[in-house]
Amino acid sequence: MEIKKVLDEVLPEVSKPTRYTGNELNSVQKDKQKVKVHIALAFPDVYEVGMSHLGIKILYHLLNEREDVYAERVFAPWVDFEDVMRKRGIPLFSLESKTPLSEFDFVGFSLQYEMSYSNVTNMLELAGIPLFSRDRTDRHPILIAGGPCAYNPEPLAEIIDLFVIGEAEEVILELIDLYLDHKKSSKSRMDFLEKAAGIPGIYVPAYYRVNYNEDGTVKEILPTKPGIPERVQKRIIKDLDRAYYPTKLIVPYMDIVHDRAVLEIFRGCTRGCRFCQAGMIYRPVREKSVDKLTNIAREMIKSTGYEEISLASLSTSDYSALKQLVEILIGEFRQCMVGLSLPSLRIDSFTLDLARKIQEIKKSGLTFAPEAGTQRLRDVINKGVTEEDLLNSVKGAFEAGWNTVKLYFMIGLPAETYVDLEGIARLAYRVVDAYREVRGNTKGLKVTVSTSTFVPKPFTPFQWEAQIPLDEIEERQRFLKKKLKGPNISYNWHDGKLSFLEAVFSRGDRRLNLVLKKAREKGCRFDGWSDMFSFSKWMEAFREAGVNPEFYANRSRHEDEVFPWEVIDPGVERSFLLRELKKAREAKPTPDCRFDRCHGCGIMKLKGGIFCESKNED
Amino acid sequence: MRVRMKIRKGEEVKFISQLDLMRALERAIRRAELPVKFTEGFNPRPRISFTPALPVGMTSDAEYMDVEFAGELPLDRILARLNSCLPPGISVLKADTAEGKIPLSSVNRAIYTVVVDAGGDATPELLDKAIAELLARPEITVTKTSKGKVKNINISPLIYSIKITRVEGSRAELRMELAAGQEGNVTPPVVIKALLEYIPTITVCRMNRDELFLVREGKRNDPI
Repeated sequence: MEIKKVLDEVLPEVSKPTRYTGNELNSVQKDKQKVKVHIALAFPDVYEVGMSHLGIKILYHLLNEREDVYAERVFAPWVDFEDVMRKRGIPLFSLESKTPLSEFDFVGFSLQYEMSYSNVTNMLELAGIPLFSRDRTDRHPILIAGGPCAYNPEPLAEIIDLFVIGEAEEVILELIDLYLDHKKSSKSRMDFLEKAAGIPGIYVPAYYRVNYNEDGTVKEILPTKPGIPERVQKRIIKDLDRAYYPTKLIVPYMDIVHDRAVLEIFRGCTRGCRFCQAGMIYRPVREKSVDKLTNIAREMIKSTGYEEISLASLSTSDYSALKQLVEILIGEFRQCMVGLSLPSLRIDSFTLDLARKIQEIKKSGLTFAPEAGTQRLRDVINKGVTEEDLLNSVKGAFEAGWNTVKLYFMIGLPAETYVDLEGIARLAYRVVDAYREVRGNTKGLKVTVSTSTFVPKPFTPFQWEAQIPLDEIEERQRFLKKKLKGPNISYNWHDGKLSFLEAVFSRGDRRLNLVLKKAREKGCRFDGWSDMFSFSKWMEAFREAGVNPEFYANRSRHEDEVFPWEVIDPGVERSFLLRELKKAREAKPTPDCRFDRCHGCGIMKLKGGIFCESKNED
Repeated sequence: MRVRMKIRKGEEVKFISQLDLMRALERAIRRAELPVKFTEGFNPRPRISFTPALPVGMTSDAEYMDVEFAGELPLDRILARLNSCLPPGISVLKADTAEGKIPLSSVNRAIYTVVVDAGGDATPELLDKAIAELLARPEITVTKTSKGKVKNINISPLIYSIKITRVEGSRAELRMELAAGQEGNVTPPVVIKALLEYIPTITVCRMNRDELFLVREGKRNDPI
């Protein structure tokens, strides 16, 4: 079947056909016959979501820099096109050369959130690639996965052949070199996987055996062959200024979620919020220099023509030379009307001053994330923000002319009581009061309170904690709904059922592979899209697989329990996480180590952290 | 200076929407470092205007845009620089001053080339007959859904001519002259849909907008 021809015929009937056509500016065209390694970068969500993701952009351009490699993209087809594909027998294909996925050497999935796993399995089905690693042969592609969810690879351990743990820029090239050697040798796929397991940062689940205790918890995870490492340590790029960064970014035709030039300013975070996985697994903090960033920004605009640059990091305000960088960028791009956006900004007097210079922020309103409603609970989670800080910032914003405020909270945090929930409502009303104080009335004010439900994540101090039961999630949401009524306040919340499933898969083990298979058979996909999500199908899948989801989501773990994800070493030590858990239980905060002494998280052993260098562990 | 450009939208980009095409051109102008003028106010936009939207899925040799530049620039330089910065499938065919030309919003007629496959047992002769019958009808009612509302419209006065220009096996190339623009608009897919009443096996292979212009008092006025 010539896919290009069939597309001409079917795409006029499909919504947003540009999702499937490729040919965007700066997308890479190569002759696939002339390369040695053909790799599909797969993002298990629709084009406009996947194309907004920075990791894919970096890997795509990095790999295509090599003449012997052709990296192409593939996204999850939206349900209308999936129907057409199934009816017409069109296999899942790459955007650039329209090659069926099954013909690639590698298919690499980016795992950004647990609820995209059903899209991974669906994409494999659409590609005609057997779901389980053991059913695939030498003629099938090797399946790779990376991204934050790879820090607990176990729920996909029977599906994915190898996981890349941590930052992939270096290890992916080492893997390709190994593959080039392998191709010459005509040895088996398993031989390649075994050798790959020897590359630092690569986890090959087939070479590990999991033994369980009688109560269903993990007893041990053991390598099954000599030479396979006991634990796989994550990889990091030590010097970001010298790391590859793409400037000839693909410019999509259709409107995507983040349609702008992305400038990554640093990696890692030292704040130490105890619920936050990103804050732990992306350590240590490494920054790019202002000079380097200015050059990248200039190159990016020149080669994309984008009308906006967005700074990317876990917490923009923490970049040590933010003021200088912003002033240089504003000066550089004022002439050609390129705007600047600063997401994840901590709002205080300093950033308000910055924000005033950048009109962009005004449009979207201001976002604050106090996360919890009382000081006690904020101390439990180590969110170092006080109510007074928040109210002062809000007042500053109201004085400067803002009138739309979003407040993000989590419900179901460990040790949360109804006093804390009351606190969420109280804080929202205090924001309204602050507006009245500044403006004399509440005209034009809009306060939106959003709550998500706490999901305990691997490699955080709360990895031992339980998620509250589903009926309790819904009860607390109802409570807040009643409390948050008023002309200026609106309340929205994340679906508790989705948070429950997220909690199952985030701390799941190998037994969940079967659940994913059952869920695929029932047609689950696009679970992150509320109109596609079917909780009842998932519950049937658990029942048929003989797996109790509450065992994973709602059980608090013993201090000594071995976790399925501990075959991975993120650099941050278990002993540190446990110390933090105990401090959380005493509601004791831990100050940000960039301004304080070293708290001994363990990341120092990986080197490269700009705030680690001057310190000795305590 | 205000410059009018004639733009080609090729196979590679036939599925992108009018809005996508506009954005792609705006970004190309920035890459070309051409000094475009911006609107005043809170959310400044480049001063660019376009001809009415082309249906998605169709190529075109006759899209037009007006761009207002800050200062005087040689036209051939604008053309060359912009063409070197455009993505595959989009190109500028011609550039000229926009002064003294018809407003882009005033165009009211377009010529298309539509290649169809009659399909099944249908022959080009049958197609010819069907076209003649369609054109002879005083009223051709088609239903149109826009923004969830279903509307019946009579497209008969919007069709100026349909001719078979080439035949190859069961394939035929049609030349359609149709109303386009704000006063009245009908597109080839809608006309083909009407022809399906006579020959239900017709499928479209290729559609291209060849020309777009204004007819006023019986006289043709081209945008460039």
